[in-house]
Amino acid sequence: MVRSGAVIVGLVLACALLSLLWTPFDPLPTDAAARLLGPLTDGHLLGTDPYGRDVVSLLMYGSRITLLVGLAAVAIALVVGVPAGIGAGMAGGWVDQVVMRATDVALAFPALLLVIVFGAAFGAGATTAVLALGIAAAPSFARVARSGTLQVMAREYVTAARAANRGPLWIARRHVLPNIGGLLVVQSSVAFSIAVLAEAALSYLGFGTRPPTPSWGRMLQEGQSHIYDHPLLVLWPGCAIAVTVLGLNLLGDGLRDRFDPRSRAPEGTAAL
Amino acid sequence: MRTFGASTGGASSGAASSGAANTTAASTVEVRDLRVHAGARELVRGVDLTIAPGERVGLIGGSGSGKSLTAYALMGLLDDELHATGSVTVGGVDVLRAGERTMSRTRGRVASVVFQEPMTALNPLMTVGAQVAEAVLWHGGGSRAAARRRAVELLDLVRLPDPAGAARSFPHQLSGGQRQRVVIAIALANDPALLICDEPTTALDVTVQARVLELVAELVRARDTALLFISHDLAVVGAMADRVAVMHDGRVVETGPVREVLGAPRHEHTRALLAASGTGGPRTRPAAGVGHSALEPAAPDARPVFLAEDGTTPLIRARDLRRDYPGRRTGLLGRSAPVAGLRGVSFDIAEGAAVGLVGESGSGKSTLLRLIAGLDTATAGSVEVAGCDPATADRAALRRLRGDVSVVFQDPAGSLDPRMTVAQIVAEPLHGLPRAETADRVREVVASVGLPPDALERHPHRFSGGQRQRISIARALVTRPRILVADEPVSALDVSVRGQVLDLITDLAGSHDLTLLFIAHDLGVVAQVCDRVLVLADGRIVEGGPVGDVYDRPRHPFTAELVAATPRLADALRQA
Repeated sequence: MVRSGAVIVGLVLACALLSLLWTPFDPLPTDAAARLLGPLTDGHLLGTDPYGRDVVSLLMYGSRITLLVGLAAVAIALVVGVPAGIGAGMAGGWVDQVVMRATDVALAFPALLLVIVFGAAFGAGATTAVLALGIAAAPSFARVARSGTLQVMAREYVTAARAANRGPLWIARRHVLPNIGGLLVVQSSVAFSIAVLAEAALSYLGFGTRPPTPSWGRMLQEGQSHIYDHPLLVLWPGCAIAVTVLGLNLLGDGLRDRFDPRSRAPEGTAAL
Repeated sequence: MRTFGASTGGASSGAASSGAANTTAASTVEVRDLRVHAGARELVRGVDLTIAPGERVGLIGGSGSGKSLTAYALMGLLDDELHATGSVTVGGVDVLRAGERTMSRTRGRVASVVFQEPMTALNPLMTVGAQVAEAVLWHGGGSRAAARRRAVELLDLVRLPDPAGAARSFPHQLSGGQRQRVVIAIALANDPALLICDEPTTALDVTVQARVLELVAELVRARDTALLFISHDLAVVGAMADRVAVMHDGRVVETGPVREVLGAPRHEHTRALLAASGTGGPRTRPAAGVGHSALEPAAPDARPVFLAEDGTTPLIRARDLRRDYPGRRTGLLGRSAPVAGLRGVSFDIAEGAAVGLVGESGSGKSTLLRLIAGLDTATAGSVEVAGCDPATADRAALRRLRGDVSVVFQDPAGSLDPRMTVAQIVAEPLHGLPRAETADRVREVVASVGLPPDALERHPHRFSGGQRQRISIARALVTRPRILVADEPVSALDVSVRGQVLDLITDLAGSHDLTLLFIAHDLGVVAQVCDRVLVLADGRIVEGGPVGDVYDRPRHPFTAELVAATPRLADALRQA
């Protein structure tokens, strides 16, 4: 599972890196003469889009934006959400109440609306979108981290650590974080998928990646008006998003299992 | 050492292979050459077992001996990856060849099981009555209302107080013993020909255990139900069974009437089990720094129990210690009255003493432990450990105190972080030492608890229960503490390793000059390790003194009940 996930994610990453150096055609300039060509015509492997740009080059260039948006949003969500969740779970009492009510409010607020507000206030663009998506994803990370923390804190090894005169920071770092790591990996792969899709939706609304910079979401949006006459135009970016998300989920599940020492059972353990 | 009954007639009857007693066609259970494989490994290696109608058979053996697998095979409940061969006939049904459809109609009517943990055997979201009624409906058909009425009758049969009210309650509203009674009611709902009990009382308090066992024995006798009773506790099996089969390494190594097998064991493994099970008799430990105790006469409430010699300064000194827990939330702001965990406890413990703390669950044992280890603060009263009161101590003093007091917890699986290596776990209590010295200390203490050096880099799940408890003990001793607090350190362990762990604790307590505070619900275990005992009931100390005095001449009725309820092999054999 780790291997197939790593292969998929590795391929996407390789595409993104390769696009820095080389793409079959220049993805940016438009060419009215070559618009909406079918696959395998004039050297365009997957054809061209309504503006005459090469689809393969667009996909490669777009993977950069997509990966960047997803990773950055997840990173922001992790950095904001996890400490809040662990803190709430370990402190309990009013700290817990305050953090959890705050996440309730944040979760009740539609994420897309938040992005639009950010866009209106700070100017639309990829950076604002990433920030807003990360902040919107943070409450669910806080929730997951808190529930995992509560489980870990009930364990006797935490009592043992307290009896050994270890403070809350040690317990958070040595006991809580490693033991909720699996949960966070899974939550990250889910949040990444959501961020990739949200980026597509935002670009569609004009609050994400600005034209002419191509992203998979913008490709979907631009292909949409030609969905009846050229359905393949939405199929390619759609497949790219689906395969990337699948790869990340496989990788996430695999990593969670690999980092759990318990799953590496000795050979021939009785299954009862 | 106590001796086991009379050795009657020696080794004569009953070959060590089959059940010998009733091999008629009407046997409730006929097992012939049962083998269970997990892939290439053979876990059960040719078991023969016969149980006649109404016969009570005990199955004993250490964990991994195959006793539970054999029982699951009887029910047709083996996991898919396990493969069983041979022949198993239960109540005329060929279990290994019958499909799951036949078996699900058979289970409950022909045979049912009572599992070890009553909490997980019941559905937390269904009322108890509905769960019993479900079992009745599954086979009997009939109307829902009739099933409900039958459920109340069954709950009455297992002697739950107020059966109609109990039927409306949820599992968490009942005590452990009551829950196990419900499981028994479900098991008996369809009058099975065979009842399998898989360690049914291991999770219960001693006094509760005695009552539940009595109930099972009575119900089984009244209905002429065959009983297969699985336990690692030889005294319990001795009381419950007519005949026992001893399993070891997938084979039945010895079988015969209880009195013969447990009274005069012939197989070396049976002897080992008997030796490991402890005998319940007090054992004197070489006194370390404790003279005669100036014990006050029975002082149930306020007066302190002195377990220290006159004139010496006690190492642990508690005065009128109270701990209340906030009551349950009622509505938005209200709370019910606080629940008392400890209601005023006073005692002195001298340096070097080995003190047992005995009581049922909820008696306040663990609360007391948390107060002494500085993990919790008292509501009122004071406790002074090595001259320091954790409630008022500053940071430095608390740190010193926590170096002086170490805790070994009950569940070796839960008290070791699965993500850390043994070296990391054991090093956790060591603060601010240079890396090399930490490594030296860890290596030294791991060796002293009898673990191999290559254990250091492994994770806890690679060790058996007994070895994990050794890791826990190593972590407790790495700071070279003066006081070792052990919270039921062997109750989660297999009987065959209990003795070793207890010996280890005793040896280390002697060689490290430790003051030992040993919490247990099992009087026999306390007698093996401790020289003094405190009996707790309902948050109060009801009795205290030298182990022998308290056990032989209990002055408080609760202690007397506790002593009487502790199963003893010798008594069981005398009655058999």
